[in-house]
Amino acid sequence: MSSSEPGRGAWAFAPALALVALAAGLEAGFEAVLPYGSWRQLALTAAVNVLVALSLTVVNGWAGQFSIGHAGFMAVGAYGAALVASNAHLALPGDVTFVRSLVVVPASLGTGALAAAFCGLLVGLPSLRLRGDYLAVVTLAFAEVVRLLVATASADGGANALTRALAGLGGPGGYAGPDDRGVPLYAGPFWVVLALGFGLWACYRLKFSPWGRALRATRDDELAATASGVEATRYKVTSFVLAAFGAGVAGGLLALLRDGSPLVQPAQFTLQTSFDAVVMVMVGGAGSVSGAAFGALFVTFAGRAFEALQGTPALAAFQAAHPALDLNALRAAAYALLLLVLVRARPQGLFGDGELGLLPGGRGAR
Amino acid sequence: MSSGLEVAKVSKTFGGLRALTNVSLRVPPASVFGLIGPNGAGKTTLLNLVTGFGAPDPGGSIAFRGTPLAGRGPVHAARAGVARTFQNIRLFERLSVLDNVLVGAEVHQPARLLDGLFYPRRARTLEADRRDRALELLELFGLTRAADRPPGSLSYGDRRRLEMARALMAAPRLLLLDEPAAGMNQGEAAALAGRVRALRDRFGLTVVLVEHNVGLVMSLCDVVHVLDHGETVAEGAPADIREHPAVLEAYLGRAASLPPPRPLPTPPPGASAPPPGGSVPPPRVIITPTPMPRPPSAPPGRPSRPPGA
Repeated sequence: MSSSEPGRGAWAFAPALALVALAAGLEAGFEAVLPYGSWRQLALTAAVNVLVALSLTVVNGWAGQFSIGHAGFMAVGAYGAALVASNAHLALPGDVTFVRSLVVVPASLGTGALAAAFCGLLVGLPSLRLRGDYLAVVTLAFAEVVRLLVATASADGGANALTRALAGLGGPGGYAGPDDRGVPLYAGPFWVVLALGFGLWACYRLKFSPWGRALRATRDDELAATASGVEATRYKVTSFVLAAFGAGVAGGLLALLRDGSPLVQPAQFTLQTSFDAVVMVMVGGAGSVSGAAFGALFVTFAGRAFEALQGTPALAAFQAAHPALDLNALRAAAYALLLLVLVRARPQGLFGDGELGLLPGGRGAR
Repeated sequence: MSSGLEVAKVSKTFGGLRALTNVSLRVPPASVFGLIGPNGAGKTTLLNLVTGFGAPDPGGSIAFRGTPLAGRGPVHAARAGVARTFQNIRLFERLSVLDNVLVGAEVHQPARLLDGLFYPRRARTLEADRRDRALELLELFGLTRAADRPPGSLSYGDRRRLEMARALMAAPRLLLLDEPAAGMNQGEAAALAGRVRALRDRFGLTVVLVEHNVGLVMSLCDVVHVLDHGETVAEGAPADIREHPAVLEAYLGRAASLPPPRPLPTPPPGASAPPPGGSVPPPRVIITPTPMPRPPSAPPGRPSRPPGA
């Protein structure tokens, strides 16, 4: 069956309640589950990366467009959320508490995501005319423009109000709130798990909805889709806005992530960030929700695994014996090789357009 | 104002190539209209123009049930009740067979994003109705068992049938079929003819058929319009067209005739012997070296070409 049958009555909300309970439980007992700060940070980052991959799947997987500028939307979301959160924090003096996060996080994430969605509309409109590589270049340019606007703005740069406003974002050093005391890190596991759960649910639901069906039809054959009455342009632009919104949420979470850095820096949103997002989607299979989640986890943990491997005594001894070898470079090469093998063996990604077989609507890998 | 399809003085040039020259035709409602001619005659170009893919050169007009279609895009044509299939089958390869058909329902009620998230009762019943209709269509075309499979797993004939099911999902009033019987054997083609006839009789559907299977065209069509080199050669009832000298010339070259269509027992006088089994299609392209002679008398109802046009 390709459409999910919604539950009925009060039980329809049972999964949502379970999700909230899980999120609240993690919020209370996160330190007990993961005792080390670096582990907690890794877990939260992985969850945010899943959100990044999910949102990119909407454009690169379902709409069949090729966006390689996802970091730009994340940056807009991150700076937007950081601005709102730190100003709200300043206006209401007090500590970063869970109760306060109930107000601050939705407001700041919402602002950042809406700003990102607006940018998505601006970038999505050219998809009326551009396709393939040309659109990819536009998205890439957008991401770089966002990053460089922030990184190069300086307070003495000019009388231009826009320049001054941009300079308020801290330039290359990073944004640390209006009082330079750091962005308040309100987004604990509660918000991350909640956003992740909602993101997974929404993506899964949309993919098999009539809307997702029409969008994926446009991807498969735009000519036949328009002949069937599908307004391809509207669908493509909407998908861009939706993906940008998701990236904005993910960026906002990154900015406010507990156990993370209290700075929002342009260096967090480079080309590498965008390409990582593309790799996540491609590894999992463009179009697959479970594939995007898997790809994000893979990319997040593969890097760490290589680092951990580098720290093992055997490799450390090997390094000592061969001082000329650059293990960091080797690590990058090994990662690239792994990706090459994966793409060679399964060009459609691990899951293709399908889902994990055990999920309803999943037809397994294809 | 006609209730059928009206194509008036439509020309189409691609760069220096004249694909269509001053073609006019009228398809009465609830009829099956055959559009034939050698490869490159402009049949598919005409179909594309009717469905909004490209605009005719200035001066030409296309209207269906009084709604102008020329140059207004495929979505506009689809909303006006025009559906089509493609010569080179175009399916949504990564959607299931059932979903392929369901996309055809998009034209009348475009999907809404938020409905997809929250499925209000209205959207749920709408989708349930659509699924029922789509499953009915799959059953009509014998594709029920393939509903959850990708279209890539279907045979060539089934892929054609799936495309037709998708077109019918839009509940069109005008169905344009571009070589629907290509790659089908005579039995399958006969089944297709029966289906098209049933659609016309039951739903009052108007059908325009581009086809090389002469037997199918002759047995199925009420009117046949012959194009060659982008120009109208003849139009008339199938029996007349079969013996029309200009048509024979355009289609088969001199000293040849169309093979007898299956439902007609007696071959026309002077016809060459039908090929053994009767299932071998006539040669597709015969390029006549000399300019086409005009038919001696234009069939009634067709506007005569202005001199020098």
